[in-house]
Amino acid sequence: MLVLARMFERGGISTILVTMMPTWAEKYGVPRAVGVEFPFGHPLGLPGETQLQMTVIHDALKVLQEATEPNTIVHLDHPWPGDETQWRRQWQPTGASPLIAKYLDQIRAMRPRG
Amino acid sequence: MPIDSYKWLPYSLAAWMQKYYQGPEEKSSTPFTPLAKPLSETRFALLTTGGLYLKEQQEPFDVAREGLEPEWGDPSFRVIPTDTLSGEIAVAHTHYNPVDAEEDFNILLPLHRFHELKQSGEIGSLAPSAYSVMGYQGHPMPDYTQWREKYGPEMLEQMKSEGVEALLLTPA
Repeated sequence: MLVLARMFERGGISTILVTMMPTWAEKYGVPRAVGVEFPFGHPLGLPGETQLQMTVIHDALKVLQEATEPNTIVHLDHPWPGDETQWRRQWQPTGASPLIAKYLDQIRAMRPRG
Repeated sequence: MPIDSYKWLPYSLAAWMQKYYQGPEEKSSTPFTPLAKPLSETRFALLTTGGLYLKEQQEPFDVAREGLEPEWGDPSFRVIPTDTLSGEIAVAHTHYNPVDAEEDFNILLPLHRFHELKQSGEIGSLAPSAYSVMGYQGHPMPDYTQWREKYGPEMLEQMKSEGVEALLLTPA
């Protein structure tokens, strides 16, 4: 997504990214972004929650309008309107992605010992 | 306070991603196109990497091939008309649970919210085409060749032909 944002920006379009991974945007570079601490698949919130969707969009448009230089990345502090413990699972696919399935042993090896 | 990009990931998966993921680093050369007009006069398009496609009208992203080749991700794109109605979108993406996006695609592609912004005069207009790709493009270094050389330029050309001036990007 960072690649596409930079490509379109270079092509003369002003871009604004809403990301759950602002750390990647900060590391690899993006014209403008807002970060949300929301579960994957939910950059604008929950289904039917139009008010929260619109709030995040308004925040994004504000950064789009006000940014004066590239790598402008603003962290938003909207709390996720769901139970944290439940949502650590709920955003995940019902079955592991092919990538995760293939690398499961390597991933498990990352657990701290003891 | 900075938000935690890894908050929702299991510890081992977060550690694995931080150790192995390689991004496309170009921070020193990040481009910048200043917004030329006030929002109320600006023409918008939307793009998501959520793997959305038009149910029964478009081919899903090729998650079958990804199943056989886990280090590969489908680089193609779908054009989603901005008058798409609730219930007309399905999702092909193996890396998140698409149930909520299929219930209300506005959480990933906020077409209805942007129609409302146009109605209220907050934005100038919304172009007739929105865009959807499937964000997973391979591991450990994603292969962006097709995005850079083929599909990205095709999307940009269509945006230009529709007079797009600003773009909201919403990854999954």
